[in-house]
Amino acid sequence: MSISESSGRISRLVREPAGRPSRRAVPFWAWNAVVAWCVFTLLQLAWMFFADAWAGPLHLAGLVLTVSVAAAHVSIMPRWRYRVHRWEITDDAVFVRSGWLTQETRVAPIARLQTVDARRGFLHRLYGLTTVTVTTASSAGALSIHALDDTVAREVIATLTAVAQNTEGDAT
Amino acid sequence: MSAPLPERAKRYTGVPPERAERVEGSPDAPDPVPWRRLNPRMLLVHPVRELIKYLPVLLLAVVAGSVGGEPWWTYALSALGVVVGILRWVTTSYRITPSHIQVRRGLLNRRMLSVPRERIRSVDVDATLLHRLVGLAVVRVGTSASHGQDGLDFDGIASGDVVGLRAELLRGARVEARPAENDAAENPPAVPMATAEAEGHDFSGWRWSWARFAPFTLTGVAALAAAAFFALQLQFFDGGLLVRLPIVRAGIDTAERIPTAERIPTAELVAAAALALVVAASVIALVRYVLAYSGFALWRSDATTLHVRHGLLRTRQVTLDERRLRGVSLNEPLSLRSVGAASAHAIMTGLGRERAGLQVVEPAGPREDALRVAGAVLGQTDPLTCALEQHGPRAHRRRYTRGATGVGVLAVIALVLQLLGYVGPWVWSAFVVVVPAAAFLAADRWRSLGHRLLPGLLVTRHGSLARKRVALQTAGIIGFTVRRSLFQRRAGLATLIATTAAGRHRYSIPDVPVEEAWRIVEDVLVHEPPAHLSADRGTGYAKSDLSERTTS
Repeated sequence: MSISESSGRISRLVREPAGRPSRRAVPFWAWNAVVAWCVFTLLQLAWMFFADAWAGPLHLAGLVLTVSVAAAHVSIMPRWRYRVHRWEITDDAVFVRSGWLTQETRVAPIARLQTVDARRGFLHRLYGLTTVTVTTASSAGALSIHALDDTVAREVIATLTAVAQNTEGDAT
Repeated sequence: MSAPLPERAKRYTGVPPERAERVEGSPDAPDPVPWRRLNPRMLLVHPVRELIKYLPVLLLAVVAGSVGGEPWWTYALSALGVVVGILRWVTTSYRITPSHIQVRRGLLNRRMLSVPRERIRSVDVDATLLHRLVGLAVVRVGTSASHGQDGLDFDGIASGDVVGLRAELLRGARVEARPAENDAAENPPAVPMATAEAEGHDFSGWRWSWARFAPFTLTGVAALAAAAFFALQLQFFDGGLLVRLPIVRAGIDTAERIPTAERIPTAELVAAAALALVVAASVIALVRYVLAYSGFALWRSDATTLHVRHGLLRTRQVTLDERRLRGVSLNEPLSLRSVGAASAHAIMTGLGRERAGLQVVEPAGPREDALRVAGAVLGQTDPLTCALEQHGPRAHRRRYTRGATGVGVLAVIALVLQLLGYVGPWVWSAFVVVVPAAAFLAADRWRSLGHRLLPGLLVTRHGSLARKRVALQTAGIIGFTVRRSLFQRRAGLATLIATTAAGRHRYSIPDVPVEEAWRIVEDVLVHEPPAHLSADRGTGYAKSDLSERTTS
């Protein structure tokens, strides 16, 4: 196993995996956030409607707050995420880094992978993106490689399936 | 998490469902093992159990008086419950073939669960009072990957048959352990699991006097919190049922007779209320301790089989495959520590959902005993007593900034409540207690915080009110997560989370210097690659498990 051969490699990988999400991930994340904030704002408007408080100062302040937080989130988060998100698959392990304010690096040895799950929601398909999730026997151990190019995702899934065929045992 | 359930089910049965159905009548089983039924005395248990289910509602109706009588459909539902129970007995059958345990159930949706016997990890014999009255017990089988799904239950086995069934179930589990004996597995020699019943030496050291520690566990507080939650639910979701209870009504009436100006809680009143809560929590904890842990016994029947037995009215006896042990945790909440006590859990896989991968190996008792037992289960005491590496000055400062943040949040809440007129300025006197308490907790949390990587074991300790020291076998670690919040990145710290299939599934080392986190990840994954140390090799099912899914 090459993991055990080169002890310096894993620290390089765990700090700085090479793969990045698709370039289209930036607008994709932005639109995802826009949709979520729209739902939130609509709920707020519905509340104002049913409370009949179109001029309530607290309600208006809340609305202004929502819109400004949403604007900041939508403009900052996608680019930040793009800078953080990384992934890499070696013969021995899968490495994923994700997040923006709170960042997470996850490592799972290939030998312990159980399932590979490809998720393509509506927005995903609009942008030709796929999120690949691999699960392990630990419910806390799932790794998601977010917003991959469809073609890249297909390769990733094929690779993972192939390498995992050669391993056994999932520590349960 | 999107853990795909279909795959889990497939892994669980070992055989894809459509094939599992065919196994039954397939020609390659020329001498089919006969199907067995659960004990017919279960027909007595089901109606009583239904009745008990409605007991709280009935009691409430009697106490509240004015709830308005039970509508007829409640009785109809009870009757339906009884019928369903009887049908369940009629439609459930099981058999144990040389390779699998198979359970058939369901009336219209016939379902067969088929579990390879080598996947059996634990057998749990659970006898509630009701079961014991009619001489029955529930035999629960914990299998690998059974976390988060229904294990395999045999609800209603005569007490006399339990021993035989358990031995039968575990005999299959042994086969995997000794690949060399695979040939002999078809005709198991009389030796292997016949010894399962042999009473070993009980090394738990449990004594009745340990019940004195019960009030210092957190169970009473948890029970009170649950009761408070239940009361709130009655109030808000069941149409204000709570205030209609005579006793509550009387209390409110008394309170309302006090003039508003005098409704300032005096020190005596606060002290009395606190005392009442403490007494209530203590009594609940004591009763629960005695009911759950009376007669606690722990013994080994052979090198890898651990038995735990406990319970007063409802008795449990769990038989565990120790090769599924992934670590132990020594629980020392502040309250228990203050009286020199602790409790210990075994962290295992394949314990079934109810136990969530944790098996009590020592209930609250003297610290030395907890240490001794945890050490005996783990095979070494050193990881439980060794000095730990501290996390440096930045982690130290973070304990205090976090404590200060907590106090700040409380202060904001107090301020808002005061501005809204809910509480008077007296609320600030509470901070005379809150601030020193927060400082003390921060100091204690710092003292507790530490980790150490020993050969084959990762040791972590953190917390104060619920301090835990966990020794986790690195062979059982499935992966790592290094999580860094904005503040942690600025302080050069990280939370290292080891993920595992056992116990709580995640064990963390909070606020460890990030370089140290990388070092641990590397040491565990490089120097002790899981594939080489894994005790799970040779089960041979991973291949068929890994499958692709596309959802859109």
